[in-house]
Amino acid sequence: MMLRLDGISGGYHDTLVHRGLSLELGAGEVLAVIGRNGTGKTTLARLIAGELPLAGGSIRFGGQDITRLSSWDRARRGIVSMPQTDMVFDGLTVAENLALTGAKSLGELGKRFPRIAQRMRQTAQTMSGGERKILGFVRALVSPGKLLVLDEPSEGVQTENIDHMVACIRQACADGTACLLFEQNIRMVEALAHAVIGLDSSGVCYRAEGQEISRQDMLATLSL
Amino acid sequence: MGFIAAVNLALLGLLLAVPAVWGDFVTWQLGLYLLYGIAAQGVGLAWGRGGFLPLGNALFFGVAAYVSAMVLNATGGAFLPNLLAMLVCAALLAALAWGLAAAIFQGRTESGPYFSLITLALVLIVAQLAETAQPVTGGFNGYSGYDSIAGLDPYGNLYYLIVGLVVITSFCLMLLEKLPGGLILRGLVSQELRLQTLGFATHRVKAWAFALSAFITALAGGLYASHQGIVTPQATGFVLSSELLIWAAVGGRLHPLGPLVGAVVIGFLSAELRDTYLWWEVLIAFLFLIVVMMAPGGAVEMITRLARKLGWHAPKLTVAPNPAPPARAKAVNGPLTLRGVHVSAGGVHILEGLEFTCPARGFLCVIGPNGAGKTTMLKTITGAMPVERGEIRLGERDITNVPQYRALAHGIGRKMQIPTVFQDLTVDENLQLAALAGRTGPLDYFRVAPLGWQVPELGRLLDQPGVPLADLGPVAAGALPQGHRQMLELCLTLGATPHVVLLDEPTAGMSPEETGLMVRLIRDYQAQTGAFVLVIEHDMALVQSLDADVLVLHQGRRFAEGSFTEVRANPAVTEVYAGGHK
Repeated sequence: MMLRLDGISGGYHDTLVHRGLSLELGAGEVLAVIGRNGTGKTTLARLIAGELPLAGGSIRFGGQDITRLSSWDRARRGIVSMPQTDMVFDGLTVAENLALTGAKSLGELGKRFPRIAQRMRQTAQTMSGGERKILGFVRALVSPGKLLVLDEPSEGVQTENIDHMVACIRQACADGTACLLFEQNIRMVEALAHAVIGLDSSGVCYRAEGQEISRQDMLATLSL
Repeated sequence: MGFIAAVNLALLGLLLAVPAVWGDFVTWQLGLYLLYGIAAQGVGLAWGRGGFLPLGNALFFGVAAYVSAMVLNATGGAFLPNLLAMLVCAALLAALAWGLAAAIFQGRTESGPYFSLITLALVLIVAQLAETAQPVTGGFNGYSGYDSIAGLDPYGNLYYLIVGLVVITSFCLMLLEKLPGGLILRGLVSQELRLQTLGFATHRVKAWAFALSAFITALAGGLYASHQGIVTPQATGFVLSSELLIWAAVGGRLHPLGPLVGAVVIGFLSAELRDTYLWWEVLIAFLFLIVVMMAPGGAVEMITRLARKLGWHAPKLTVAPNPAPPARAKAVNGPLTLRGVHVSAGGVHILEGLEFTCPARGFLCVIGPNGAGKTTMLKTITGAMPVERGEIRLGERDITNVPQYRALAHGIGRKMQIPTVFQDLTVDENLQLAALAGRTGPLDYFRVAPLGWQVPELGRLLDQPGVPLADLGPVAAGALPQGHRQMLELCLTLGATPHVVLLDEPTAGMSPEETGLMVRLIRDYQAQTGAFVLVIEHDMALVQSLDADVLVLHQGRRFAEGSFTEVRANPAVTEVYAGGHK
């Protein structure tokens, strides 16, 4: 298993958002986590990236226990996180943003998102909201890593570019990368997920794999 | 009587008992430290509440001290003329501070090092003047040989006058915290940009805070002249300025009593250590380091946090709900029009001659590829980004490049792409600010009733089934998930019932169900008020459900427009942008 959460709990200060949550994700797989607002998607992403401390349980990554590792240690071991907001360095140019990942070239990504390749000298803060999301996504995809943790990459992004994102994630998975996708966009989830976990206020309320994944059930998870 | 009130009265009792219990010299020392403490309260107000760091408040302290000393000399210490002179001098210095802060902060949203550096420069200049203008100030030797105010003894009765001033400033500052003015100041520190879109001229808010800061510091300086019997250039120097900061930081800049505690504790500690321990300044410096690192809010903040843990809460001001006055926005007498609007940022052209006339009421959806200039279009309408060429009109009024805080007065409200709610404030306080927006007159900042203002449109919105904010009143807005923030941001936008509502991706990050709720809320508002609502969206199902005209932007220009069906059927549009659904 690439990633394994064993009964993890965590949240903010005194409020636990997750209690005893477990999941597994293998190399080359996409696990989508869906749920309405306030069910703890972002919290879970941050717990895995190491931005929030665990209150209980353990996290194993690539066979090693990383429960007590800091966020930068996890990043070094190959957990690439794209947060929901602040996914780019506002004051840096596109080129500088990409250079920080250590990647030498954009490769296929440059063709899919030509705007990024054309705007290398533009400062990220002068880009539009959707373009910044795309830049954040490209940053995540060119980063050398084994696990992508993507928190709502499609938010504010036009459909064509969402389709490009889907293709890029598929390619990364074909190369053995695992992906944990936090999304509300059911189309994107349908296109990618090998497995789906649905969250509601009391925890995991839905689990499905492969053929069992149904749009109907996912929409039911997202409704009140 | 509340617990907090009991603590405050006990502290006052302690102050009044000092002369009888500890004698003349301690009384004199405490009087001096309290005066420093009052001056530091002024610094605490600007730094802790206004969010900007003044490095030059000794200027107000020292100038007031010199003026007071000269008036005392001329009048022989008579009480009323000198009191009057102190007040007038403090008011003039406050006016100077107001002008200074308003000029520095206009057009900026950051609290900036500029302000700190300019105040530092001023205090250095004034200290130099005090030293060189020997015939007037006595120069290095100081100005002395005058009576104290009303002939009060600095070792005796003058102390009670100082305690009186402590009570007045502390009471006023504590009161201000509870009033709309205090709420607005906290909102300013939390999210200045949002406060501007709510119609508050934040540079003026900061100017008032700095004026009050200068006023308080100057009053302390006035009494200082009587207390010391001599005023030297040190009273207006940089060293005193930085000491004021240290006292405010150690005692607690966020609480009205913090700077007082800081000045008194450090004052007595220094006095004790100075004679017994050679390295006393190093010790004080370490104390400063420890407090700032362990308790960034200072000693009083540490105590109040402990008190809250033990269940002693500050009494909550209960305000009866009362109807809000109508919003003060100008009537809108025509459609929003953009003519040849050019905008660029960082060398990139974002809008290149955008031409468009919006409908006068109802809905308009703006769609287009990422980077087409949709958000920029909204920003230029509200003055958040400068128009280089072209003009924007609302009816007959030219609103090209209005300052951002004026947009609401023109009847324009904007919901931003990434919600910018007041994260440090609770949901209730956010909603209070939403109700204050665009409705306050100058006196309303100092009345309790506006905190209970009820806006019917806002009330209806919050009462809709599914809106999650009603039960979240005491929660800090920063702890809300993204979708809840979108709802709160919508409330902040609609609180002033603007006629022109600009919504930037209001359903981003929302599930299909929440999206449906958001659409219901927006439709409901439009039906009630007859407003014009512009919505930027990528979700075509939503665009279709609004059944509105659609404007397609591409590369900073109008690319196409028409009904949803027309735009959908336009092959040129599908070429650049297909749009999708969730």
